[in-house]
Amino acid sequence: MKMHSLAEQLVIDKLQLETRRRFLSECFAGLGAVWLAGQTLGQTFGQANGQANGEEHSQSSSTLGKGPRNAIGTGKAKRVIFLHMEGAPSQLELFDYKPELEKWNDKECPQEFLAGKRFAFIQGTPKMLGPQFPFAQHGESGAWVSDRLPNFAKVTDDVCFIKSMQTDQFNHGPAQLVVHSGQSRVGYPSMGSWVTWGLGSENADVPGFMVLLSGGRFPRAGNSLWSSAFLPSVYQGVTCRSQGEPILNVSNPANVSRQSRRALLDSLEQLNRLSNEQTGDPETVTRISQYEMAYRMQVAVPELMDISKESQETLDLYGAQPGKESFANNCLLARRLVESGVRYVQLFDWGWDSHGAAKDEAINEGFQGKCRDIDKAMAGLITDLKRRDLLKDTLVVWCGEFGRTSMRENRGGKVSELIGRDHNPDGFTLWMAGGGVKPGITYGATDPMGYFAAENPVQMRDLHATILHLLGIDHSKLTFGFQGLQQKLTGVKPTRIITEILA
Amino acid sequence: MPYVRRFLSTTSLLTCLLAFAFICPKLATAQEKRISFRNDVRPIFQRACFSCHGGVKNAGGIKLTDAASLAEVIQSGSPDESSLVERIESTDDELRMPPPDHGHALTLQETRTIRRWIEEGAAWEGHWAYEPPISPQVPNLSDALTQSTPTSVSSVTPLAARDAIDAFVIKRFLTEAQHTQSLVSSHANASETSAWRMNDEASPEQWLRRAYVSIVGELPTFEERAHFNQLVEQIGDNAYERTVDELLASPRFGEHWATMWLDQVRYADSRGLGQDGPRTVWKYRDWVIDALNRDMPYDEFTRLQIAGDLIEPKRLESVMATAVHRLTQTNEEGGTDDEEFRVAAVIDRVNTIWQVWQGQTFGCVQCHDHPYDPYRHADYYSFMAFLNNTSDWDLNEEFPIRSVPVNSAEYATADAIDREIEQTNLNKWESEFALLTQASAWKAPESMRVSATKGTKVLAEANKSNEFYTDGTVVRDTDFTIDWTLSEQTPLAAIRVTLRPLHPESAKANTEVGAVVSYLELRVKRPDASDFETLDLSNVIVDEPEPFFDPLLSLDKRNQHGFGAYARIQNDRQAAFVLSKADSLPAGTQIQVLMQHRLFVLDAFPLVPRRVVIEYSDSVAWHQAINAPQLTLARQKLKELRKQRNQIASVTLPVMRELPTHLRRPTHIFIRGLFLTKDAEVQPAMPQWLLGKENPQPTDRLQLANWISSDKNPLTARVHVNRIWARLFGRGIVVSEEDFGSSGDAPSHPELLDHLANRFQLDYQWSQKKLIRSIVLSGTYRRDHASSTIQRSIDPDNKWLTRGPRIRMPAEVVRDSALRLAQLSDSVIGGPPAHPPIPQGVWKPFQGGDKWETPAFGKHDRYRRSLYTYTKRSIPYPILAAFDAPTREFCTARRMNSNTPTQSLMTLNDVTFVECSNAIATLAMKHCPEGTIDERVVWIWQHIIGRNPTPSEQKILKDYYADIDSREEPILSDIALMLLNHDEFFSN
Repeated sequence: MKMHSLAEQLVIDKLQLETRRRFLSECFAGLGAVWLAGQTLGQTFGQANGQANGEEHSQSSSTLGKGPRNAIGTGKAKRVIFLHMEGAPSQLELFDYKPELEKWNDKECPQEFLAGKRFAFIQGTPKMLGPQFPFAQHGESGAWVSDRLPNFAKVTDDVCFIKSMQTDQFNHGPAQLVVHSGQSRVGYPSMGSWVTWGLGSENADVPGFMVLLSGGRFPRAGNSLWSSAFLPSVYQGVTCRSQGEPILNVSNPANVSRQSRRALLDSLEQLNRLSNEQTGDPETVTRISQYEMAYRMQVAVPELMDISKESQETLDLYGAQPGKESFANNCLLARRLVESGVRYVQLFDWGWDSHGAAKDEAINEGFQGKCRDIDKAMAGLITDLKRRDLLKDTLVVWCGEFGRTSMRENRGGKVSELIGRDHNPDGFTLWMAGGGVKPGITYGATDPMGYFAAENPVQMRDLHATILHLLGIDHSKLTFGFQGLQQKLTGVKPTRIITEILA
Repeated sequence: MPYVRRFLSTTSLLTCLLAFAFICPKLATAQEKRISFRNDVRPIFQRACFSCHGGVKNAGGIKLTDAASLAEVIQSGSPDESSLVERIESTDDELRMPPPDHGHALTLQETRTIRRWIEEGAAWEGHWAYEPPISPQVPNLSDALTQSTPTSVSSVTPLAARDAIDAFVIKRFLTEAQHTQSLVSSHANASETSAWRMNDEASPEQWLRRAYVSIVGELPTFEERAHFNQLVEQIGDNAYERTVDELLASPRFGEHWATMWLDQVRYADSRGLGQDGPRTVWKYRDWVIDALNRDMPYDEFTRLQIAGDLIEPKRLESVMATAVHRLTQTNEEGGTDDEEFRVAAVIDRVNTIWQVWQGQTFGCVQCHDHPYDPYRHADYYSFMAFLNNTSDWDLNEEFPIRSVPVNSAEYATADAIDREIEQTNLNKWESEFALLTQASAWKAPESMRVSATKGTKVLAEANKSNEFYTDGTVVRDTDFTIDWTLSEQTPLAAIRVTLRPLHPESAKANTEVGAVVSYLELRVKRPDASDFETLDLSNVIVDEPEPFFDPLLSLDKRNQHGFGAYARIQNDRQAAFVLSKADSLPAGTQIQVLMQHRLFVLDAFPLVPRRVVIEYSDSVAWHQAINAPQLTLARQKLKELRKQRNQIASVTLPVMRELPTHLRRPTHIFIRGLFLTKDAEVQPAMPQWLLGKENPQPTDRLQLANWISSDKNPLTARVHVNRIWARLFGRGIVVSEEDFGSSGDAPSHPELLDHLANRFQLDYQWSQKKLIRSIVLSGTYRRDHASSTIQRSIDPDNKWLTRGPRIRMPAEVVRDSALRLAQLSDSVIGGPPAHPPIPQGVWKPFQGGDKWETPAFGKHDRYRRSLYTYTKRSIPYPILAAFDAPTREFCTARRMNSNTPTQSLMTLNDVTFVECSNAIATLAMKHCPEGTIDERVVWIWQHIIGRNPTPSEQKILKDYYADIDSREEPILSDIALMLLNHDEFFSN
């Protein structure tokens, strides 16, 4: 950090003092939004348009982020729902139709596909595997979708497909980290943290970055996928639980009523204020406001999480059933969250690792059930966002951490009855909808075998830059100094915003 | 601070006014002082130029971080003839540096500074942290008094120096206050500024809380506070010293400071990446606690951790220390390349050593030259070569591991046995290895037939009668059958199997999937016999002294393990399978070797050899030598010693172990930091400029450890002294604890830092306890922590130490203090990871079998100190995570404190805090059996907050419970909970 000259420092300090005085008065006036209030008061803005009447639900109040201001402009997207199919679904059975591959079915893989490649499980020379389900074109855009996703096929005119995604990792843990943090190692902030750090939250009563898990297995890289890493910890993703309390410790302990908690907090606030008169520590003031925020969250969060308030028609649209742990419920919940102003929702589904090593994941077995689980829910989400006029500024992203090979897996040199494909980082499909993305288009393509991104390859960092751009953030300026480097989500390699898909 | 800068530009009027006020005195004083490259010029380059003209981009071949390169663009003494000046002053956008799209032009003041520096001779200065600390003279405060200053010392600081520390701090403050005063004397707030002063000494109880938190990481109880207050009355100031000595002697000291260290070295009880399965490594954590409690000198503490396995005699506890390098992440996910993650672990070790002991961001150099400091790309790999030759290989079994007695009282016994085992084994193996590699003893079959099962294809190596390799897909569970016929009568003594990489040359740099002989059988069919008979094999002699698996397992059909290259192969690997009797076989006998390979690792890799050489020995003399009495005796002795050692209940600990010389790995430069693209081979070396000309290059890890822990190392003591200072004051003398490089923060008190570094390594002989003792007894640490408006306005971060530290306690201290005040925590030191209460639904490990079982309420081990909590990287313990404990994937040099509603929910609603407040209520009843509710509430207040409540505070409390219609105990619980959420509870 540059050392300020003393005099310069003096000026800055004076200004900070001014800022702080304003902040203090605002805090004590009505305790607006300080969910994102940080440690360094010199950087604190307080709320932008908060209500000063101390009303329990200050839905309209919002907080500004702390990211460098020069990185932030205006974007068409205000919020993001990121659907991650953990395990990496096969693009060749869902969106990337390859009639040529069909012809090669069961033939030995050409050596040129194998030279210089590292695979997770494929050994020696595997056989090619044709598409396992029929495909058809849908909608005005004529998008190819397999018969496993009949409902989703109906909304493809709202969807933009990228069929030429690439990543540089072929193991799940590292590749999932790349999807969310841009780095293959643990210890870098998730995109949701970068975004909330940059933009803040639209609703002061709930966290700006929330994570929904659809039961089943916890993702491999676990909390690291929504970690704030070196960014302040307030920006880490808060996991919502579909069972137990929706957020950890959000409920009062048994036998504690809201009234008695209020009384306790009132006394606590008075004591803290007296203490602050003695010590003068601004952190005390922040703490007072965090207790108020916590108190409001206790009402706001459980209400938000309760999907039973939705109409039967809406529940049916998603295939949601209140009380169940499911992807469909989480899609509906995601809509409720973004509607209430949550900035970034990260939603995980699991069980997509179709190696053909076990029945529950094989393409000719468990995979089909997984398709049923997500089909209606994805379509419902897009339809519902659209009819509520939320799709225009809500970006929905769907992807796995990589794709799957055009070859059939032969783990340990053997072929099993279960059909599976190995990990393929070189070409896979992702789709986006809403939030300023061109609807009804397909960008990029794989080769005729569906193996490499042959036309307009898109790296994960390009996707990150594009998402940030849609949110009005300049990815090259959203930086944070750590370990001697101005770190950014998109890293140090050359990065391109995919302007072709912008509406 | 981009925000502030923006703010300034929008309030230009104010800026102008003030600018006038400060530029004038600045110019006046500037005449006297020479421009310093380090302090004045370099910061300008850092801000405006290094991003292009630094180590990374080196744009236009100009690198301003380098003296020689900089000399090319300046003409010493002649700014007007310096191309650098021309470019920065240019008004032509095409020429101007920095270019307009990279940033604004340098300010007039900045260009003037650069011009004057060139005029004065353009002297280059290296970065301060790379010069050895020279002990500065302790300032004489009475001198400072007599200097012409508008502010007298006594008017701004009520305390005289208790310690040299205070003299440095006060002196620095006076200089600062004087500047501030002169700067604003023409400004309306002058009177306010003159009130900028240092605080009085804190009350004894304020200091007591602070000292408890600093030294043992827990708050003092009601009784301890009362005792201390009494002691102060009796013996005055000596009470402080006595208390500090008692606290430093408490085993709680080691527990508390261990947490600080475990953050640095990324300690966790799980493996990280991929599946994040559990890892048994807690004996290292206990080693740290013990070393701190014994006040092991920091140089020894350092040397043992970096290279304890190489120090003779190899003591158990020295080897245990090296587990620090095995805290790296392991990837157990199916289909992962063990070489890739072995390399990632070595890289993490390199980065961690530099970060923790040297405060350097050496990780930058992995891909390119350092952007700001003189480290070259190749330096990274020369350093990596010190650490690249240990036998660990990202294996799920965590090999190599050391067996450590559960009970530390048995360390000495176990150590003695272990050392005897090691010596006996090494002597035995050296003889065996000589026989294994004795060229004259081995013959190649003249011609050999090889077949493989499962469809694996084999081919004979051209021009070699006894070497074959596989072609294409190698299928798991492959068996090989190798046949040949004896042309003359032969006494058969042994078969030698050499497992080779498929591509022996390239494998040295790019390792291949390994191979293990799960079972080997030797059969013969004599010319007159109709069937094969199986010959008895009695021993397997291998090419390493401490193989991961017993090679004899290759003779056991029921077991998949045995001799081999597990799980990667880089060099040829050899074993001799010895016949129990060297029987003579007639000419025409058909020999058949059956090799089975059953291991299949990471769901992906069959450990089937890709290339094999078969030889045999017909030497009876060789057979006698391998069964020589001293070898047989040694084998017998080892068996007995191991049996004896197995009697001692032990747990495993992953440690460091060097590879035997013939199996060593070459280290290459990685192009752009990628392990798949290798450049030239390098030898172990430190950057010579840092080492200093007179110091010899270390050649192995032990010499490296000696250099890092040496008094001559310019960084080690400074970095650690600063770390301890930062834990005590909440802010380092160098704020960027992780970066002592030129892009890090400049020290606020450079002389104090060097003074402390010298004191630490020379006067205190690296004693951490002595260092902590002197700081917590200093006047600087003892100041009151209250801050005035003027203090916060001039110095919000307390950089100039005008007040005592007031910092949010670390996560562990928050939780441990609540448990201690409630008398719920267990006092046992060390042991396996603990599983305290955890909210439902949090514990969802990716792998099953990793159970979280909490001892029932009332059990002594339900609550242990926080550092014992099972640390799973992917599922951090909620309370600790909420209060900013790191997840320990990588070195965390310092924690960033947050202040969030999640914390509030945690301390209001979590079962731990509910149980603590109930227990405190019960204690209050017990403590004041006859008391009124008012008295009990005051007791709780004193117990938790550590001071007496003021009348207004008492009134607030009273008002709270006045209206509650309830039994007394629930009210007291509420009060305890309220006070466990009081801001003062969270602060030291």
